[in-house]
Amino acid sequence: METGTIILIVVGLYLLISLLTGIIPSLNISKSVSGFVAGDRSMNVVILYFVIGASIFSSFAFLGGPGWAYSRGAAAFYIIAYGVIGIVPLYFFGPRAWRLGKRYGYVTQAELIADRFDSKFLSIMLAILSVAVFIPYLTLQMRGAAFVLNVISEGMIPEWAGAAVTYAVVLVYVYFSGVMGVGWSNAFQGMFMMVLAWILGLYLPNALYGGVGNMFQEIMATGHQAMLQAPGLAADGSTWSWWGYSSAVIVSAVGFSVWPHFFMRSFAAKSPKTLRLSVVLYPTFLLFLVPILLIGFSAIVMFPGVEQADSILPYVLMQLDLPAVVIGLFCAGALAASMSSGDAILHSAASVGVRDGISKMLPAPPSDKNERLMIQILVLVIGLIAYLFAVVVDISIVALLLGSYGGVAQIFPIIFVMFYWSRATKAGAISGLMGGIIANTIFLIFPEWQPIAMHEGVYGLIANIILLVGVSYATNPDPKETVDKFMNTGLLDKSKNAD
Amino acid sequence: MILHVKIKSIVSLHIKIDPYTIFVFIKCETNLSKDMRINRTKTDNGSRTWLQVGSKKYRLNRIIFSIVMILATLSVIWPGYALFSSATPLILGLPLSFAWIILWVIIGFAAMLALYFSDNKDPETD
Repeated sequence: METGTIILIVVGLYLLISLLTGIIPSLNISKSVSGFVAGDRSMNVVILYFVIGASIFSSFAFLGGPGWAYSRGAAAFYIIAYGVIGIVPLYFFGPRAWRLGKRYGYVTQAELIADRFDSKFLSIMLAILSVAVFIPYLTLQMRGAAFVLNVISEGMIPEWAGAAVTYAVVLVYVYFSGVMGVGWSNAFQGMFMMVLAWILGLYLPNALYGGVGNMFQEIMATGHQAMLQAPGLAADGSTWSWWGYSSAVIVSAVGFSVWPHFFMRSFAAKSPKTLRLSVVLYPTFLLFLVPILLIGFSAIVMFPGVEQADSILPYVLMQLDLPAVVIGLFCAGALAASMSSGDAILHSAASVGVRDGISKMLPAPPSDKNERLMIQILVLVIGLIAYLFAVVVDISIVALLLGSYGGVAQIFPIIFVMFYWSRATKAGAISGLMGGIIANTIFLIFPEWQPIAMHEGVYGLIANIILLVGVSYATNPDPKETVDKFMNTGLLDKSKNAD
Repeated sequence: MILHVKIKSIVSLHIKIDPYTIFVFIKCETNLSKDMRINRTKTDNGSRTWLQVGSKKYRLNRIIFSIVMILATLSVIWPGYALFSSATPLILGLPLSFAWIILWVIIGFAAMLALYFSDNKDPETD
């Protein structure tokens, strides 16, 4: 059989399994908003583990990770470093959010915040922030999928068709199954990705250099030792500064647990215990990045001078004389990385957009049935907008996405004070969030204004915390009843949570 | 004749029957360790009294966990990472700078596992 046909068959099979694993769970879930957005709070450890893991491992990990290792060396370790710190807050926030969700019916992050600070404005603002961040994020996932299919098929599959086919599958299962579709398909995609990453990550150094140790020795012998010295190289090829590296780790770690699509999975867990265990197991997912980075390192000596670092993985694969099935499997793996993040983002963007944005702006709250329908329609609309950005409109969105990391991190202080600081007030929360986002954006656009060159998110966080604390003390405390409702949600505050 | 009745190791009743006077002394004692606290909370229908167990150990575990995670943070950024940032020696084939980060992922994982198991030891907690 021809190589191209075999690759297409393997990819086609993968897409079919994704579609089936995505649609079947919808049969067991209620046709309500809670069913669509939070899966009737029924996710077990296996599903939740993969949802938490896979929604972070996106096209960026599969293509960008090796790309970083190839072009920036040790800088790529940053991706592993922040994950292990970043996941920890979810261990403490998650069960608290879950208990409140169970008791008061919350299904999104903004609902919690808006209720604690009694502010419709905060809810709408967070909805706009989320959707604004999610659309470019989704666009990047689509471009990643389209790009891989295009390169591997040697141009046979044009980018518009690649993105259309893969995301048609995603749209169908998100539309019908909501979060449970995301969950089950992510479990399949996640396992698939992990197996593939380990096989490729160990195979390439062995095939090309005769072992991982030999590979690194070879890299150092050919004069790339500086690259392996932490914190590696900056994007322009100069040595990355410790300030730059450390601040990037801190901002990413702070923002990690409060990404809306990530945080709101707390509500889907079956119990706080399930949620905790899934969070605790998360670092095993981080280790899956190790072979991914090895793939990038393996190309440094053998294939120097590839201009587009992100294409290094498909590039290497095409250079080697691999069987068609292997290339097809890799191709499916890259699609899995793209889709497992894309579906979660698409689902969350639509859920948050309706639940926290549109519904709050309507004069009367919509019925459950209408709200669910509105979310489903928004799934289609957002999918289409992202698709247009991905294949039709040719603007650079990478910068927008990079800026969003600092923006999302600004949500962290509010979540933290919601559970742990009774004196925080509505005015403090709003001014902290606004101030943080404004400071972040200013220093992103005008990096030369920074007193010390580091990640702009740090400046955002400083402004955020000062305003949050200062304004809270300057205003009257929020009603004790509301504050207590959110504060007394810990493990030991059982009596108040007993239903 | 002296009877000791222990109820769930929290409350013990000492019942003493004096054979000469036929008086019955009943002494009730609570054996609350420092790690237990009796709490009373107001609910919609009156108040409810409940026993809080293990708050001290719970807090200690969290303090230890926090220290480990602060150490982890300082180890994967400056200044901790700066001390182990060199490419050599190779450890299990990986550069020191890479192996160091992986080591902290494993330490972080172990710390979280430990916290998880200590949190779930008490069957009363969810």
